[in-house]
Amino acid sequence: MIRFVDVFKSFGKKKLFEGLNLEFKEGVTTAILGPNGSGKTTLVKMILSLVLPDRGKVLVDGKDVQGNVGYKKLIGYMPQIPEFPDNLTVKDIVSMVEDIRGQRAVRLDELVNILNLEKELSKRFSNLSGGTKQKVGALLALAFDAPLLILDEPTVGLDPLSAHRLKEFIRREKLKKTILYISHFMNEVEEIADTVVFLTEGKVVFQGEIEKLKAKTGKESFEEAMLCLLSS
Amino acid sequence: MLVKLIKYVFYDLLKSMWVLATIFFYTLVVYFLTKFGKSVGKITVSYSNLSSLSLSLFSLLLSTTYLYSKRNFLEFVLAQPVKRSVFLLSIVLSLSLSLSLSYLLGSLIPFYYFVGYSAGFLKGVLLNLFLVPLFVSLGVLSFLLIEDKVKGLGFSLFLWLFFCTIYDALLLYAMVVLSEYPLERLFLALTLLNPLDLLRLTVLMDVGLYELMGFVGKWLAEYLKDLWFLSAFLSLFYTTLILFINLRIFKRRDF
Repeated sequence: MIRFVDVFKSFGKKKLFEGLNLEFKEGVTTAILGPNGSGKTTLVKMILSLVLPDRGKVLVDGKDVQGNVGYKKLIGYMPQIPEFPDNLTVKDIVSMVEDIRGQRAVRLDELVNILNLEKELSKRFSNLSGGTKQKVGALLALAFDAPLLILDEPTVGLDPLSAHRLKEFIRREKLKKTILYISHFMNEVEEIADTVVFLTEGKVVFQGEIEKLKAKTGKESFEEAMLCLLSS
Repeated sequence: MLVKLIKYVFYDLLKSMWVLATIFFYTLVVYFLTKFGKSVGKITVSYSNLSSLSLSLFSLLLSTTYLYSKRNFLEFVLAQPVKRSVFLLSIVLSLSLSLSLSYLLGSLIPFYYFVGYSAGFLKGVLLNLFLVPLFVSLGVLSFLLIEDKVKGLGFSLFLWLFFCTIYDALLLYAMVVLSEYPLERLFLALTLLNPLDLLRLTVLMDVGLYELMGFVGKWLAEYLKDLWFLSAFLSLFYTTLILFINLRIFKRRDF
């Protein structure tokens, strides 16, 4: 579904990706992992054409993302820090995103219920708590039933019950969607992801199933396997 | 799509403190000027001068602070099926519309209440409106060129100071240094290139106070008669030019 073909990207003098080739298969939930500054966020931002490659191509559904916006209707994106116009209510924000996407939020009611947002719908965004803002971010990423979900630290800041409900929802959805998942919580990754991509300084040092990673590193737990990759 | 985006951003801005503060500020200025001003012509000139300085500053500050504080919102919208050019235009138009509306309300209603209708005052206010999209676009340019918020705001303030004082100071310095050469018309043309100066001159000409400007006023009255068209045209030309530069940068910028 998503392919990076010989992608180069630098920020000033710092070279991040030098000929990156990577593929995310349809219907697979992939966790993107790596230390800070390894290129995880840049990788997903390139899929959304928020960051443009210096050279090479990023293909979504076989189409180059550069100069193309139509493919974004296929994507539900939850940023790490959700930010919307302060004086709009949650309802207004949902309407705004519906208008922008030209799609109805078909699963709005279900998600409002799961995330316990009924009482917050008519509140201004500036009056919401940090956790509720995060829930609004999740609502907007998931309510359009997009076949490709990009979730950047989706459970950070959520209370345990909401985090649990959101993870349950994602677990149900993964059967019919392609999901890219960024998280620093190893137990969460192990619960949700089918495969992992481990990046270090813009290079893919591992891509495959969690069991294969454990076998490769000779560790029994996923966390230990990750630490082994990090230290090597 | 453009109209839909403007609708939401404009609606958000209308509910912000900026709009109320701008209306209150101009109402207060009109109140004091009409209370202590001696004639409608002089009130118009004073108000126009104050407006050109303050409105350009507000436009720069509003656009710069809005964009820096809403960086994650920009990122979210650009992750949706929206063309970058359409989104940038919607931001510039929403910011310009909200500020223009609050300036109009804060100026015209209190003036009509305290003084009554005046075509000269109305023209001065309308002319100042051309500064809003121009300085909003300059604020956007600061945001696009400079990553750091504090430096971006600093650059915006520098741009404002440049058009308000530094440009004139440089011209004056050049006039003194080159006083032996017959370059008056060149300097006058250079003065007209500054949209703030041009606007001040236009209002002075419009209320018939061009004698106060000595040589400049005489020359303008003789050759240009009415600066309205030139003032509007140049402001629109600069706005279009800066918008074009902004669009070029915005299309290639990483978020």
